[in-house]
Amino acid sequence: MNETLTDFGRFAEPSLYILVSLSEGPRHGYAIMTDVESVSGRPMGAGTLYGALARLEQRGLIEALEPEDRRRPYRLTASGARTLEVQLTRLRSFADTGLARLRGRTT
Amino acid sequence: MSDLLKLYPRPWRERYGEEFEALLADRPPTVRHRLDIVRGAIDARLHPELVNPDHVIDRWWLAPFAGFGLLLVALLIVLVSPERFDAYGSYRDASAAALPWLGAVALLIVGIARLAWLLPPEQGLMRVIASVGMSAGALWALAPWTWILGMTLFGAAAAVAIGAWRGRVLPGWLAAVLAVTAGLPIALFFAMAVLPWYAMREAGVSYVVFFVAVVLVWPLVALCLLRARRQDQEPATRSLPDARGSARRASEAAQAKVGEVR
Repeated sequence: MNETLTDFGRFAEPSLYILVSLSEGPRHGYAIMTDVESVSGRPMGAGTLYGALARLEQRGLIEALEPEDRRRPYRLTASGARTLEVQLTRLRSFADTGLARLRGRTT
Repeated sequence: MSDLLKLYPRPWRERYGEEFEALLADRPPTVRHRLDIVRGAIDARLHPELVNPDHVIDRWWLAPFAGFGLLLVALLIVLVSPERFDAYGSYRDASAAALPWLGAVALLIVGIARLAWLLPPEQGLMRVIASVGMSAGALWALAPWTWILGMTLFGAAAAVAIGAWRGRVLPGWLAAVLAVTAGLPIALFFAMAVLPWYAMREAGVSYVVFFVAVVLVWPLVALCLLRARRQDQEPATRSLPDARGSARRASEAAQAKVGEVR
């Protein structure tokens, strides 16, 4: 099972943000966009959002729910949750290593 | 429908269009976000498999597209090349354009060959015509002044376009555009060879039309490969029931013959 997003190219980082956003519960496009912006502090365009959503859906990491007034919510699948956990664990390990080295240098 | 949404391919619009429009209504895009949507539309066109897993784009489109880039480089070199003078007058020394020109023609041949490869078996005649045209056209890369060889290459492109139209590899309109664009230089070339020198001018046809048609063949072949349905594996699947049918018929005929003998 491929639990990386490296083959997503420029959509890898936005996809990770989307997975984090959906880990709290189902959200539709606009809600994902505003949540990602509040978490990352950077705006996310609709083209990038839907490019990432299409890839995540194709990989089976998220699934679409029934539309509510033209807005279709998405939710994390079990596979998506596993992939997110693997990615975040790697990021934590990376951050821990970096911080430890930085502290070692400054002290 | 929003103009921005129209940039996306139809299957993509059918899947995401409604929610995408709802999103744009919730947050009207800024100039920066409009550019992001244009990028997203290009990505959606390059990756149709995201919506329709059966539709995988043929990556060979990059060959004629890169060839088009080399052709533009070659033309640019020709335009800025120094003027030389000799006993017969003046000429432009564009020898530096030889390599990009060689690459441009080679990559166009790769593109046409790929299109020919995608033709179904029943379009074998068009494949043969295209193969002959490409073989002769390859020599054009070495001697750009032999336009007659170039015409055989455009003949190959036109033959492939007709085969792609008949074999339903390409949408009819696109095959027609390629066939006309590749056929136009051929028609003009022979008209120029046969008619008196002033006839084309009086008919309102300039050399610009000829050269524009020639240059457009490269991006058109690339576009055709982008839009082509990959059918190179389909004939085998399609012919399987036929093969089973003929095997069954042969077996029945054999059994009938055995019965007659008995």
